[in-house]
Amino acid sequence: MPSELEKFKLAFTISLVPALLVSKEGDIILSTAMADELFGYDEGGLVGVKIEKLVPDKVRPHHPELVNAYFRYPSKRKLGNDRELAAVTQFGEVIPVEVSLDTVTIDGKICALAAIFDIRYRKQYEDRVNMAMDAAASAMIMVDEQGNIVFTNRAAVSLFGYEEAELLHMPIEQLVPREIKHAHTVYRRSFMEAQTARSMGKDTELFALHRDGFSIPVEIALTPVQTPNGRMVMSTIIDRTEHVAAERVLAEKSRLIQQTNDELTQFAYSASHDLKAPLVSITGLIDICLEDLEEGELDEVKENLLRCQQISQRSATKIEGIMAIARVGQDRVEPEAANLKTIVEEIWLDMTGANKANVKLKLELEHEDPIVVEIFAVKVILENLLSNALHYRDLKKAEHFITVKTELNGNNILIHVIDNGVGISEENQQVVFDLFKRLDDRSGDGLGLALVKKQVERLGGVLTLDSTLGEGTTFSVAFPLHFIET
Amino acid sequence: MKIPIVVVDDQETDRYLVKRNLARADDFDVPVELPSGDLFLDRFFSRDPGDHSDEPVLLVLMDINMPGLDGFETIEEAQRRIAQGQGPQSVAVMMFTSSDNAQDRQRAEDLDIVKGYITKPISKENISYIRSLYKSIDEDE
Repeated sequence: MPSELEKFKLAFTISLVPALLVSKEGDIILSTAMADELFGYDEGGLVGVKIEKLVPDKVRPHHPELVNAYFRYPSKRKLGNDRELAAVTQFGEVIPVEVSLDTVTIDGKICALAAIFDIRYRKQYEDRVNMAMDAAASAMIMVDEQGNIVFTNRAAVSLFGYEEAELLHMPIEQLVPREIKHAHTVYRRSFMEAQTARSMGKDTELFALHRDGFSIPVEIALTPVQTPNGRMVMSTIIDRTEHVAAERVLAEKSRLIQQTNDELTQFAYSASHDLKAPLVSITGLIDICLEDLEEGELDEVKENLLRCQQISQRSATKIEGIMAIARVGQDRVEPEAANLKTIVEEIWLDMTGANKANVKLKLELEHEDPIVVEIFAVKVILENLLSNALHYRDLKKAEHFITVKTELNGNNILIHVIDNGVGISEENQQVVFDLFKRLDDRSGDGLGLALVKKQVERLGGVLTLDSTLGEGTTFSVAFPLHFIET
Repeated sequence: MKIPIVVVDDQETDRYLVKRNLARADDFDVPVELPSGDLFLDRFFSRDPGDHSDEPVLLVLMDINMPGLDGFETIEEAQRRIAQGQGPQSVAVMMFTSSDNAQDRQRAEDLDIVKGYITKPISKENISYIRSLYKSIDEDE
């Protein structure tokens, strides 16, 4: 009766798989012809060779310990599944392999039976696939049935900010914003059940979570994949950040166009009243003049001609005012260093002049002069606000105050013009900045605040209004200051 | 009896032009001039609620573009007050404006007591329209 070893020899002779039988001491006892060929030995040449001779240099020094460890806790296991495993031929060539290990007892001695699989071709194929995946512009992530990441490409690494090693085995929910994490788990399971390709984020806003905690707008296509390791899902993730930014720019542009359109419509309407009215009055007056001339009423003619003159002059001034508004923002103006305190004081002096109106101007300036601004724009703004404050003082009050107050807020300066005048009703606060809007008999052409608003916008600032009827009004202007490089 | 008429316009010149042109037509009274919608409402529509149906027709030329209440707002308020019996029952308003704007014409048409739309300056044709309008309403009374 042949010994157990003889039986194994026979089996090894007919085996078509590269296999080795290794003793506890790490000596090769038997090898198949395929193994001899794989490692570059003559037939039977591997017998007696130490197993560590077949492992790469790096592993060789501690390989005997690994062998010992294996024999201490022998079991059936597969090596190379989750990490790269390599073998070395007689000629030093390194071959990627997977190894199936099991133990057998032969003639009372425990031995390791190792089947070695040459995975060079599979590796080459995988590398090619990986290269193609890495070359793809879209991030790709494959998850297994449990929702763990089993594959990712380079685009995914750069999109999510994780290292590839960190992404692998990570639950996919870690890349989902917190508020939908739970729902995502449910969706993922039902998708695994249904197994039909679909896209996410086409109609709804979809976000993925970056390592640093911010959300990335994305669009995702899901494809079910059947693999030897079970059902998987390949997701292709398209980064919509730039797209979303472009959409925002477009929306802003169309809002501006709409605004310009509205302003134009408003202007056309106003022009039909405010610009046409003086011409119509002049026409009427001239008709009367012609009739009076025939009848020899020369005094009346003279009076009406003077009226015509006045109306034309007023209209010319008004048109100048409209042009001033229309021109705002067209010319580029260099910001200059200016003394805001001086500007306010000079305007005030011009406006109140020698006749000391019974209005007190108070300055509460918290900024430090000089500031760097477009001086002309600031002057126009302050002139109009101060002149309004003065004009709309409440005659029922014994004392009239106007305060100019400044604050600094980062790079922004806030200028408040505060008065205890008649105030503006809530209803009128909505329209007070409209072109040609005259609120009462004290109003001018209805151009002043429209001009202020344009100038503030030109400075990249905001104009707000806070007023209570009977108590007073505060106009506040906030705009960024420039800095002169020294 | 001459035809009584009220002009509501913030522009003194425009009120003067109405006055001069109506003076040429012999059958109109010297117009009552009011420079704002508020003063117009104070003058004609601030009475104790009651039956004012026996009063003569109130004929009004109403400017649109005025500071404070504009012409349309003034008319809307007048209509509310008529409904509460605070003013004359028989009111005929003609918008009186430099604007030939479609938007304004439409708005005028939607107001009950507005019976016409006259663009400035006032002409002889306008005046005969006002006269016939007044007569048609007055005869109905």
